[in-house]
Amino acid sequence: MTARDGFRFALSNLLQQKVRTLLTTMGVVIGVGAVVLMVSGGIGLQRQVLKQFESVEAMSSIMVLPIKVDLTNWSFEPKQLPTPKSLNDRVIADLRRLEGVTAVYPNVHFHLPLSAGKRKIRVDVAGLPLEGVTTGLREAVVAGGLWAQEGAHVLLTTQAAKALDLGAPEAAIGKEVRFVLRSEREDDETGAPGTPADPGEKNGSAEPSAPPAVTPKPPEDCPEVFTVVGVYDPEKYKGFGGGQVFLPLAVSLKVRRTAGQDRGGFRGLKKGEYGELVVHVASPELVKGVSEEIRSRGMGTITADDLISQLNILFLVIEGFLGCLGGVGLLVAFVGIVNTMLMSILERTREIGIMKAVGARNRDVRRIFLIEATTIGLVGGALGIFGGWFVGVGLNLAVRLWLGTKGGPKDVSVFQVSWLLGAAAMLFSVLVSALAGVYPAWRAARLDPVKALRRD
Amino acid sequence: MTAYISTRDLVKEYVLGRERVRAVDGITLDIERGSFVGIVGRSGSGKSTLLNLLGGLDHPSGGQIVVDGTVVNSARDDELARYRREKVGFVFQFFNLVPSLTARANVELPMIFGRIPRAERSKRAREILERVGLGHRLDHRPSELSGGEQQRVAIARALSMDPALVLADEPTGNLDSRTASDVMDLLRRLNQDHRHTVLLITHEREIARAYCTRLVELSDGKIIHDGPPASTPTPTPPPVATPAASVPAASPAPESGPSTENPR
Repeated sequence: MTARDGFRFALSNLLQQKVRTLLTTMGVVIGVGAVVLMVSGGIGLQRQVLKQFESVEAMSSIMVLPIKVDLTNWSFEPKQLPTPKSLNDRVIADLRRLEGVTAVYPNVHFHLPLSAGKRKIRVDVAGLPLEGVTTGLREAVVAGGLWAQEGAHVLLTTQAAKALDLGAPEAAIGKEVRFVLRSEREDDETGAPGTPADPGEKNGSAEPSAPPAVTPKPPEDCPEVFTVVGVYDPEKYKGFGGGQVFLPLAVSLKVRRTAGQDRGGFRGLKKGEYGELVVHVASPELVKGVSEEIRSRGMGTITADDLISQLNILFLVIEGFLGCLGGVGLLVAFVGIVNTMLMSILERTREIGIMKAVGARNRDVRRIFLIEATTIGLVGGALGIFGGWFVGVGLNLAVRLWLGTKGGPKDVSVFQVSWLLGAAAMLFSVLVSALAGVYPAWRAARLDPVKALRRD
Repeated sequence: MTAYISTRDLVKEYVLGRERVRAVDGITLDIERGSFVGIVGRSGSGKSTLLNLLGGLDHPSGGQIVVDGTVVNSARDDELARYRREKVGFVFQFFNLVPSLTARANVELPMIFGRIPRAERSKRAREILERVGLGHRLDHRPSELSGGEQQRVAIARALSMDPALVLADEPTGNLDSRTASDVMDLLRRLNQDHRHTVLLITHEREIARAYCTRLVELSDGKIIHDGPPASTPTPTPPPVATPAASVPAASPAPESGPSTENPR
């Protein structure tokens, strides 16, 4: 029997039992659809995250750490940690002299409540020197601009401006906002909770919660009230620190220290030392060379490339897990196909006997059943991929609607079906269904023709 | 000269529960090419088992079968399939057509497994169906055909690969007497005009006597008589009382008989 005849034969057999074929195929559709939907969710998430690194700004930045880290191997023993290199102003000046480097500055990054009038929100804050301002950031500014010199200036995000009820971005310019530096700040070592001999405990009426004697750091000359000089759209700026509220670098350092948040990163920083540095290079191609140069000086570096490759591994694991979850559906479909084929053999026993009597070889019979099973997988797979994609599109719309009500970005696609995913799902579906056909086909092929013909 | 079909000490045993049943018990038989041999005997005498062995549907437990120089008894499954496809045409009592296929498609079935190209297949099926008088029924399904027509489709199917040997197991057992004689006439024509060797199982002695050139009678898996039809003794009592025994017309099949033919 030729393959073509086998296919024709199988198809007409499947069409003999339309309802059953349809139901079995539905099983495959649901199974494949679930796999496609799950994995496409993982892929969408992956792309959403990796989008943050797609900009030239991100690709031409290097994070410098005081110790060498290897992102591909996190399992180093703490005692094997090398002595951290001190990241201070001298190192900054030194790195600035490297070829291709356009800016070097400490990475200052913290969370603080920010208020305007009665509104109060928590924001991500980053310090930014003028040399670190990229064209990408300048182009993302929708109102006002950047500060010309250090001072109590702040560059807000559109979301923050909206949440603080400052009106349209243009209207926000020149308004004042206030960082809540003390009342809500986390305790530091000096103001640890279990301070002994607290007199307030005896006469509980007076100041029950806020301990008055938390010797606040001297307010220094740290400003609390900042003037909005500009508003930018974080969706247009994907560099380091995208989505954050920017302050001039020197001021941000003061704010962080005053707020008691200067212990981020590595412990035991001495005065004048920074936890991390940010290095900008002139173009993404220079990142590798400059990064190696920095590492040769005993410091660690993290580049967007490092992060991307790590994230890709992480997402592969996540997608594999999600795929397995959806694969449960496919497993059920597998059992369904086996069941259908076995039932079909029972019904067609006599027919198999006839085929053998007129000269069908065992392998001809086997082939017919294998093709039948595979056809179910082929059709079910195609419909399942389409179905998974379709549901994904629907969910994407729902997610965008939901994000829209929250003022979030509107171009989010959580579920993304790539050609590769489609092809892989198809292949998988066909393989699974062919596999489901193996045992029934084997059983059909080895039927004894005499007994099969005797069957009513 | 060697016979077209020759068996030596052919044995087929079944295990039925704890018992071993010898359905075919040491049959030695030579059949010449172009003969029309009737195999008669009571139910359970081993006729069908013998036919299945000769047709390569079943493996013997012992002995030898040689058909046209091919040793059938030791053939592997694939070789047997090829033998069935190219050298043997089966005709069954219950027609055994594939219900979902049209008459033409049923006739094409052996040719599909014989890898005959589609166009030729279709042409040949039409020719053969016309030869058996069903040129007007090409696209009918078995359920739309009468019993006689179905059996003629089955005969057309048996002929589609032009086999030298046609094995017919009670081909008239499910037909009324008129259609039965039509079918038998057709088989005789095949035998006389196209030199197909025909082996016919029947327990209707009238039919056997009227059409066959030789009768082999089996009982308990053994040959108890072998010779020209005239010499075959009429058993007492005859299976069906036929008033005009000399008329070569088939008598209707008894209702119960043949379906319990094979030992199980």
